[in-house]
Amino acid sequence: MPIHPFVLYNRNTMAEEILSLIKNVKIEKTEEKQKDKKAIWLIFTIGEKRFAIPAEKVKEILRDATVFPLPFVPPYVDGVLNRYGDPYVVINPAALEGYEAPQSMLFIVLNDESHSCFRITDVQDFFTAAEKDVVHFSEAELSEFYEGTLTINGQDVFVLKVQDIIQKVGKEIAAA
Amino acid sequence: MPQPEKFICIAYPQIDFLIPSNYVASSVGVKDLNLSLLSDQESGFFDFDEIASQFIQIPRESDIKTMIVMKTEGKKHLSILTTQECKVSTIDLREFGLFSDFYSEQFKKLGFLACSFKEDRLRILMDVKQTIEYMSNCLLEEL
Repeated sequence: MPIHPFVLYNRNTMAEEILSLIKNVKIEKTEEKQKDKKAIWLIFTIGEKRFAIPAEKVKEILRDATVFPLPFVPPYVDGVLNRYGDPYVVINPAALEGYEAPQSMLFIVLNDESHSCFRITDVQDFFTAAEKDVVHFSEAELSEFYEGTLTINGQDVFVLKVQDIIQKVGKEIAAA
Repeated sequence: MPQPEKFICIAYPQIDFLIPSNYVASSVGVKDLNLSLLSDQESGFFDFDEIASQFIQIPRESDIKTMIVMKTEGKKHLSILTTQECKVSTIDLREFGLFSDFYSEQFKKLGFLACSFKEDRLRILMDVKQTIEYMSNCLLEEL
């Protein structure tokens, strides 16, 4: 008996739909697991403000490195410092956000391929929290530089959008 | 093993600018030159102190300037003038550190190719023509 092409088409569609649903459930499950997964956060200050970034994004903390200024860069790029002979771009998050902080000599070297670091004031603590503990800003409060906040010992700490900040620097260096 | 290269080194406080010597046609000391009369796009003379003063303080002004004449393709003339000390330095290419792939294209647009750090000084290997071109474009945009 010949198979009716309409039936075959429907069966295929049904199979694809079920597979797609199963895939979506799997993705959601992985995302939930990811949110529940505890991460270590580095808590630091820039001026008086407290910030957090995942510790896995930190390669090293440098003290007392000389920062060499560069021309034609945005005002929030302080220049470059010497890390084992390679130039690392020094980003000043305080200047990026438009407030003044004391010119410290402490730097977080980021654990990525961009060779960037943040000038910070002090390292405070390491804190364990899950991604779901980050309170994300609402649409109205959306910030260019912050994911949201983490509550640590009753105080809100801003979570920096490291990747977004690096992307901004990359875009604006030669556009200054 | 790579051979050390020769560079013309212009020494500003904290920062040396390095120009590969094979890009330089000649250099000469000049006195009492009124650069303001020469310094424009058409003349091809550029005040290097002005470029450097964009980001570092220049402590001393001198009547004696060094004029570095760049090798150029075609007839367009390009010379830079500086009041700071110029010398020929031999530097092993292995001493240079490169900007990361993420930033290298942007710094290339500024004419900054590589860096070397020595005794609390930054040495920038630069493409003078590119830096001047970038500066000129910025000036034109401002206008």
